[in-house]
Amino acid sequence: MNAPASTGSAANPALTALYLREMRAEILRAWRTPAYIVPTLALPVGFYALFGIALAQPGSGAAARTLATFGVSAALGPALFGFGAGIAADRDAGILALKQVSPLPVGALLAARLVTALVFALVVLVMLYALAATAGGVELPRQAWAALALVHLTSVVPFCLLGLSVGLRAGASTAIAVTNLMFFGLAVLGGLWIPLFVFPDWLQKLAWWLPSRHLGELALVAARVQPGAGIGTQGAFVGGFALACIAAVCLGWRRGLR
Amino acid sequence: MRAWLIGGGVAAVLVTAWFWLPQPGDAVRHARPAPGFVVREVAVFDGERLQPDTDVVVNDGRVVAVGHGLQAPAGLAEIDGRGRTLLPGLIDAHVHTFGNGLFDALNFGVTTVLDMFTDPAVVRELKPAREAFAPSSHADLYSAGSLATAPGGHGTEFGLPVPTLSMPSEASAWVDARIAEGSDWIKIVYEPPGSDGLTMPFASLNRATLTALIQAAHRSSRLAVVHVTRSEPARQALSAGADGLVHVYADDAQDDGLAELAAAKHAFVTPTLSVLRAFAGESAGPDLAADPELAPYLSPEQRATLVPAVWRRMDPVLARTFHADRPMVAVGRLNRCGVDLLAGTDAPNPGTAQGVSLHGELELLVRAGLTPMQALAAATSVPARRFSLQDRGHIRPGSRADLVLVRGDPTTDIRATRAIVAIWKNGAPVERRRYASTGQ
Repeated sequence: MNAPASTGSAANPALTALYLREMRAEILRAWRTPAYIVPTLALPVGFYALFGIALAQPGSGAAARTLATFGVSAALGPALFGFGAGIAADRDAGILALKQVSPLPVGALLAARLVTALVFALVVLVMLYALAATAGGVELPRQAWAALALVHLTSVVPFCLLGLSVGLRAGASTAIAVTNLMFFGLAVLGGLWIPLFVFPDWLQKLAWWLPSRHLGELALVAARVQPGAGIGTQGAFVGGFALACIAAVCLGWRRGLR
Repeated sequence: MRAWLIGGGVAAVLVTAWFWLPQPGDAVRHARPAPGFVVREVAVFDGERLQPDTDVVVNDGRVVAVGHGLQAPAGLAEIDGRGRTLLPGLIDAHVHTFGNGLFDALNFGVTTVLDMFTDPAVVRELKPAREAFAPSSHADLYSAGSLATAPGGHGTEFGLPVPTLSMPSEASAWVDARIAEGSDWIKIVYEPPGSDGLTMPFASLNRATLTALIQAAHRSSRLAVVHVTRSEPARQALSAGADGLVHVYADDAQDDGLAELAAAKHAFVTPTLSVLRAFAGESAGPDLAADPELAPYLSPEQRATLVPAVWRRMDPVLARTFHADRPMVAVGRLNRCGVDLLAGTDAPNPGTAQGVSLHGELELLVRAGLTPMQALAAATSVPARRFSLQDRGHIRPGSRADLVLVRGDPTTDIRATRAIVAIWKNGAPVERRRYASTGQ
């Protein structure tokens, strides 16, 4: 596992070990928490198997489209539930306070959670791609598979930041409710489970303001379902959204970690 | 150290998995044709004429021999063809492919569809399958992809994003973009205001743009087919060099010169009586849904479009345009003038459904004046010839073994196409899907 480059920790072996140890602890803890792994692993795979494969007859021509957008929704879970609900639960349980008085840098704490979200996203994506390749009839050029995986994994980052800005502000039970609402709102209104063009005009207009919609479009471009004319705008929107979330995290930082 | 080993191992597994992921055409390359068979002593409609008491040998997904008392290779299954007629897999020359449409089409013996507007991504994904000779559970797709229409024109109302155009100068680039997207031909919507003052409730391309599009398609060696519903635009489209009209004109069947013009221009017409009559309030849908030969195989989606629970209220201008009998008269005239007619349904528009409506269309074509043999050709060899589908629409050595075996003789009673005994796609038997009765 790679240590995050942002902290310059590579120079200090003790610090690197600390980062790695925290990551390992975080991944293990997530793995042992059914409330985390059921929604993050079972739900996306089950949804895709049911709506993307079992309920679609062969010859729909929508196999690549379905995988592209369901893949973005699969990245939503680990990011929102791990960061949003997770940080809030840690704070309520006093674990966050304990870690704050220990000599653990706050960077390690956040990096461990980000890496956990990425690892679980990777696991769920491997399962999705295996299903898609064996039962879903998805066939893509090799570069398109790689581009799709890149978009899907990258999707984790802005959603982690969104989850963190919720987790810093809400208590544990509120955070679970809010992140669940966000999960379904982002997935449905972002057109990740149902193509957007079936929605009424006003909902389509509303959807334009959701990062999930733009990540969905980027995934469709990566899977070569859609021409890439809009990727500049879509990428800029996702980047802008991530910056807005970073701002929200900074504003909530002091109060949030206590 | 251990962390790096684990990380390296995981990375190696992921890269290996990446190489294992399927690439376009993999399923088609790896699939094997179904075992062959012989149909004995069957009446064969070969796409053009009837050959009584014939044997047909199928192997490796193709028809390999057609004749009397054939010696088949050992081990092939024998199928009794007595009292039955073997038809080439049917071709619906006007559909729109969405959802399970291709699966539903094959369930009724339609083995190839000519799609007149759908999502280009669907076309790209399904193109490799039509080259295969392996078992398949859906009809093969040929498609126009996106359609050429004006901003706000017909085709833009369904929600699917459509690249529109409005000027002749845009035509070349528009056609090039469709070909790059995977369109097999160019479909143009032409509904200009009539000289009688009749204006359709949506915008239309102008005549100069229509002409430029047809010319651009021809420069790229693609067919240019035109959606019209009235005789004046039909005349203009034919004069501009359209290869075919994908609806018959429904407004003025008194005009005899139009059928002659179509004949002189060697254009074809896909009348789509099924949808035109449905719009005129004479849908064949309820009759088809009640036919005991067809009903058990209708999916809930097919039922929903074949017999809509609520008929959308039609715009008054459109309601005046569509008439149940005038298109029938026009088809009769076109047929007498020797114009190529193609059987197409425009499924799944209201009053029609994929697959099943082609059987209704065949009956309507016969009622409009075609012989049953001509109607069968309109759903087999004629569309294959006009759209250059090399190995489809015929039963002869080398043809793709897309076949439909029916009871009786549809060359005398066209409704016999509904009494399906067996369907083969690429020489593999199709297990027809039956649905539980939906409580009628």
